[in-house]
Amino acid sequence: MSDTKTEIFKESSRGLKFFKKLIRRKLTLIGLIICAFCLLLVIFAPLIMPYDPNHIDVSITLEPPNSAHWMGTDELGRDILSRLIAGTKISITVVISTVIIGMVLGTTLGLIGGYYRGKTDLIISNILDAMWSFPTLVLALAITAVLGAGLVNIIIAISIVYSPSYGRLVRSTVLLIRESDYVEGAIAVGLNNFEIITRYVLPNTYSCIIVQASLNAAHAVIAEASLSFLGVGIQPPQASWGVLLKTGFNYLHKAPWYSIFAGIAIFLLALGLNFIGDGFRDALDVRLKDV
Amino acid sequence: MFRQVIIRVLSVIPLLFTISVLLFILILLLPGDAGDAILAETGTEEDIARIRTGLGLSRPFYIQYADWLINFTKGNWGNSFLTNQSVFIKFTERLPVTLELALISMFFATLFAIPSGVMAAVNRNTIWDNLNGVLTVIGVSMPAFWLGMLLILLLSIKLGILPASGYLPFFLDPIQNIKSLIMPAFCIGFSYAATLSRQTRSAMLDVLSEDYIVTARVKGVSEKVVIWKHAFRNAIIPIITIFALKVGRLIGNTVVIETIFVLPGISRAIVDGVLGRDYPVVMAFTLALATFIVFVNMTVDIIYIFIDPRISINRKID
Amino acid sequence: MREKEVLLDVENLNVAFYYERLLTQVIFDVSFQVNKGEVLGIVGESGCGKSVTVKSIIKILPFLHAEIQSRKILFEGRDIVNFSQKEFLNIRGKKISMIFQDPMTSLNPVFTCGNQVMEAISIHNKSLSKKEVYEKSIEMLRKVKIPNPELSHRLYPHELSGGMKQRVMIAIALSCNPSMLIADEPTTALDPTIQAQIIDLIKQLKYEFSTSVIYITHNLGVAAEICDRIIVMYAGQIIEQAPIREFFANPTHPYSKGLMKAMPHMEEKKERLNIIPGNVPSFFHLPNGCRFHPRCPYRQTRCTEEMPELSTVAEEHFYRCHFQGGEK
Repeated sequence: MSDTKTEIFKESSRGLKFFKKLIRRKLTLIGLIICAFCLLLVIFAPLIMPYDPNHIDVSITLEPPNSAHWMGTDELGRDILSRLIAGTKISITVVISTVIIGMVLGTTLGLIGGYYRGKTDLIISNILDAMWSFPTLVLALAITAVLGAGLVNIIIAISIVYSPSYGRLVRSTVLLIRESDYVEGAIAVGLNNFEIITRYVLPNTYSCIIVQASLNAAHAVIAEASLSFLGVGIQPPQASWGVLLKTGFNYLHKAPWYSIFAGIAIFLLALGLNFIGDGFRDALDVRLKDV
Repeated sequence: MFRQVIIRVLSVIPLLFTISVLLFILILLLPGDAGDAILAETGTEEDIARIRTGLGLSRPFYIQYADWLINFTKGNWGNSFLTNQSVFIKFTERLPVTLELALISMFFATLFAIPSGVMAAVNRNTIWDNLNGVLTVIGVSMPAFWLGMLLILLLSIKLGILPASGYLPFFLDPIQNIKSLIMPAFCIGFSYAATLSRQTRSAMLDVLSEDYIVTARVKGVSEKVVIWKHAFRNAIIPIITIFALKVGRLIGNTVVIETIFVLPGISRAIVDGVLGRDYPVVMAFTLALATFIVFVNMTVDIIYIFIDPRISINRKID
Repeated sequence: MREKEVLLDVENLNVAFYYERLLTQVIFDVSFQVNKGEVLGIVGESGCGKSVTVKSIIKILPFLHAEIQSRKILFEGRDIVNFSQKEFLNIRGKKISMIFQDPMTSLNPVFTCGNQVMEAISIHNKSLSKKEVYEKSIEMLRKVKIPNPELSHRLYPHELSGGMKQRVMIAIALSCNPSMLIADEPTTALDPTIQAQIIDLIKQLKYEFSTSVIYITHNLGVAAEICDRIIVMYAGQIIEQAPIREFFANPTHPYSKGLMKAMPHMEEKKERLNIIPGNVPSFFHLPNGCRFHPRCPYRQTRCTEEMPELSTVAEEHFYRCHFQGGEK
């Protein structure tokens, strides 16, 4: 048993070695490139977009991809490529904010429950388990029923829905760490709880939090798309990938490229994030025995 | 052993309690009088009168909660805001659809995922493993409803062999029933299978690196028996856990899939309810689904107790 | 004089592993023989290749990652070097058995102990009925001195102590009366009192079943108790080989001498324990010439350039050193 505990502590921050190990897998590299590409799209959007995403031109509605419009036009004659680029901003925003908020919320709860145990833990773990018992999209829907539609509300909803994934993970890790000699020593030396948590307990949760975060990031992209598709997320005429997918679905027989391109965008970003998540998991995996 | 089963069953109670409380809080937070209206349905005549006059409910929260919960367990789920139909009856009408969809998806997903995961683990780093890896990561990243759109595009619009929407119960027209469910079940099953396959592979890799596998080989056990009797029997334990864990995600996928394929299921009713502000439906169905998931997890934990001797038996003999 | 019949004859065994696409050799030209009825000890520090050597003979290394070459490996007169995995199924468990160091993890946790013994019997005795298999398994459990075998038969591994688990392992290994047993540090993970019991058990069963034994250990004291002949390995090579009495009377290689000195004796009064300075070399950075020279108190220039061959110092006593362990 003590072997597992000391193994956790051997994983102190070896940043450079870790990064190198991360890059080694080709797929992870591809994932990083995809995400970097999306970030670039967001930053340089005004420069890259060939057209104004909101410019309506009813003379060229639902045109297939051509030299003027590489991805065709939508039902109001707007350039789909420009709208997709504009939608990148929303997707990235959703990913970053839901991951951060969910991480903070979940980790805090998990930390408190796992460290203090007793009645606090009973209540916290019960709440986390209860939240996790709802199917994710259904709970998100129920929350948006309460809060209403729109970007901010779905960010809140998605963050809340995924916080238990961090919380339960952190809690079980903390429960394990708490038993280790390292922490007992810190208590014996006289460090107070806050110092113990921030200096010894928390750093050892970083690796599993990161893996979970990258996986949840992929889910967040799909969740935003789903909620917008269902009509409770981003509302048209704002351009999000989910909105494009939704309108595209109505014209599936006339203009299939509409949905196809929107879906490719969602798929690629989720894929890239999953590659990164896999890369993190492999790089941080202590138990990978080769021979 | 049975003592542990009973403990696990009882542990469901505080969980259900918390779930119902969380949902109750959501009901209270609903905009306008909607929350009050839901609770009034399960309340007293006096409450209904007060709602009509815009005075809001009078009884303290915990009594409202108790009433609402008791009514829920009795099947009194109120009436739909839109159709005034009994929510409970609506649930029973829609349940078979979602259930059939979920079961078919899970069945075929498991059928493919487990052998492929085992093969990927056994043939690690060969072409089978890499192929499996590519397929599973696609399955996990691809939004199920986009896959649905692509399938509709190909099979309904271009080729016309499967219907893009509509549903008939099995006993009315079995062929049409199956036809209408193939694409939806595939979409849901694909991502579920992807997750399951990865977990199977991971669990098998863990087990195959254990010492007792070497012991089995040294005994002269053939490789096939080593894999399926010695290794798989151990790997099945974490696999079953994942199986249950992902049921929640599976149901989440039914939400959008039912919408795309216009299937009259529970999840689509929730979506319609959110859009149409039919809150009794939303809240009651959500609570039902959550309860269902709790029972699925409980069942899996109980199975766990029976198949892992380390959990149930705890004596030590020298 | 007892006639010596060779049971296992290994000639020029070389093993290399793929470590992250790089092929690294770990066993270099190892040759030895095991005679019928004798216990051959293989002694050396962790990482010198003792386990790898025996595991490659019965091919239970992860074979995707290992390259095994040998001029010949004769077992009971047949060359098993190029045997396929399928052919080995007839050998493992039936003619050659192996027990391992850690009994805690060597038994399958989801099957009862009795079940696992029965499996060992029924694989190689397909004609026996279930009842006969069961009875044989009880008999084996009794032979390894497990009290109340009928009860233990029904227990799961986690319900037994370490010593009991190791007895079950021995029962499994000897159930088909193999001609050779390989014991890979079977007592290292056990309490000293249990260690002694298990060693006695192995000795006794060796007589009862006439099994030859390859006994791997890093403990010279244990080797002295049970082995007839001894091989010392270092960095993938055999550096000394002798009958056990001869070895203890006259350890020739400087490494062997160091090992002997490092053993604490009750009679001596010492302030500090003797150690061999330095560390075992990594297989990625093996020293030139004699592998032991960085740690050897008698090294000369020739040792840093030229790999010594095996020389004879007495009957059946070989060592690998240019200078007869510093005597010359």
